[in-house]
Amino acid sequence: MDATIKLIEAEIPRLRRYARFLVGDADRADDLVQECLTRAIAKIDSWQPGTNMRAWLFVIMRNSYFNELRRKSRSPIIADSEATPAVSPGNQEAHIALQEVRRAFLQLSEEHREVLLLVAIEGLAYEEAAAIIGVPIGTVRSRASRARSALRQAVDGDPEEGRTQADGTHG
Amino acid sequence: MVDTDILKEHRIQDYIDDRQNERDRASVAAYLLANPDVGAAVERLRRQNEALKAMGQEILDEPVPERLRSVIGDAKVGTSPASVPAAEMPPAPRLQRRPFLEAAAAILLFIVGGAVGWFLHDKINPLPSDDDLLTSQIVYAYEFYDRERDYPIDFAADRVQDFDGWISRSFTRSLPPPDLARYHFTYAGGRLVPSARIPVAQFQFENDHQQRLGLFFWQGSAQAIRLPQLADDKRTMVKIWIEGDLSLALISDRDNPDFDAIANDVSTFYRRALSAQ
Repeated sequence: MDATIKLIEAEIPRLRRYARFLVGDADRADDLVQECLTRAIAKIDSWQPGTNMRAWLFVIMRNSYFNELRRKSRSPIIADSEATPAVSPGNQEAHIALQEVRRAFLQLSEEHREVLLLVAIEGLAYEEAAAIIGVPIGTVRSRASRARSALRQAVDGDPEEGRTQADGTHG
Repeated sequence: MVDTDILKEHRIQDYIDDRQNERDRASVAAYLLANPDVGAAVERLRRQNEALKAMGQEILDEPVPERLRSVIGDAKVGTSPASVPAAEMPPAPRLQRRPFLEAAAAILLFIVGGAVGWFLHDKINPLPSDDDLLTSQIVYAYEFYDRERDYPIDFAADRVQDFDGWISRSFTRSLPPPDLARYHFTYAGGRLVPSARIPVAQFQFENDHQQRLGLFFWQGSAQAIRLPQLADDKRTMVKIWIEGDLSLALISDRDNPDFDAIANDVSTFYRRALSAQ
């Protein structure tokens, strides 16, 4: 069990980043991570050794987040993050390209933000992202492709093009 | 994203994400070199991807707050997670608590593999690399099946319309749960079972005696996953049939006297629903 706890511990920074994208505010994000850790430890027997710990924790945290939204009857969204940057201001000049991407990222649909978060930012395998989101792998691939195109268009300064709609197809 | 076919697009995505081995990477690089317009577009996407990866990097570099470390510390010394509400605590071992679900998982494995392989055996385009994935995802999805547990896509009974939205996207049609009130079963919720290649949806019903009834449906192809020992379970009943391009499996505890009648009603319900679309 200690080995599994260590695996969980190693994922805390990733959980904090994912939570920051989900809820925006840093304190609320850590609240969510804390709940996730508590639930994960309580359910530690549910984790299958050999499977991806990060993906398992992301499922728990994502569901905790959406369950909380349901309880509060708020609309389920991935980010609230438009007002709460996931990146601290820092050196504006040094981060200008990053800020452009972040600005464009926030214009994307929730589905596109989520798939890019899991696949491009967190680097999860497509099958892992599919398991977390609950869609087939083909959907993740096509959604990621569309999200990248939409992001590129948004970075290029075409916000209407970049403001993507949730795709309702798969494959 | 770029003007190319799906396969190339997938390979280019893998190239952008740096998910390829050296040989595949060299192959894509050669293609991009020979197609400079595509190469320029891909290079922009690659740079964009690098910027994406950098988003939130400083969060990864932050020290972990004490309150989060204390959760881990408590776990290491064996302190119970006191803040977890009783309702959210993990269930007892599955075999003791939900034999029906264990059997249902076994049957689902069998039917997704065996039944689909049975009626689509000559339509399957084998993709061996997905076999283990399909199996593991179904097992994984099932093992998490419990109303008190977490899994990616689940909808309580009061969100049946939302679930139908998911179904409509995955199955390209609306497929609401049947009304089984005449058998005293009420709809308890539904979920979309993650799978490697085919969406599998589940409707769950319960009656006042805590008896359960599961309805799974899917379309398309899947590899034959033969686990014959799973069909030996004596505690459940299952019926598998096809309506149009939809495959359905109804699973119930063995002591359900209305099982055949329910299956007939479910079949009629979906036959009419599909013919009306």
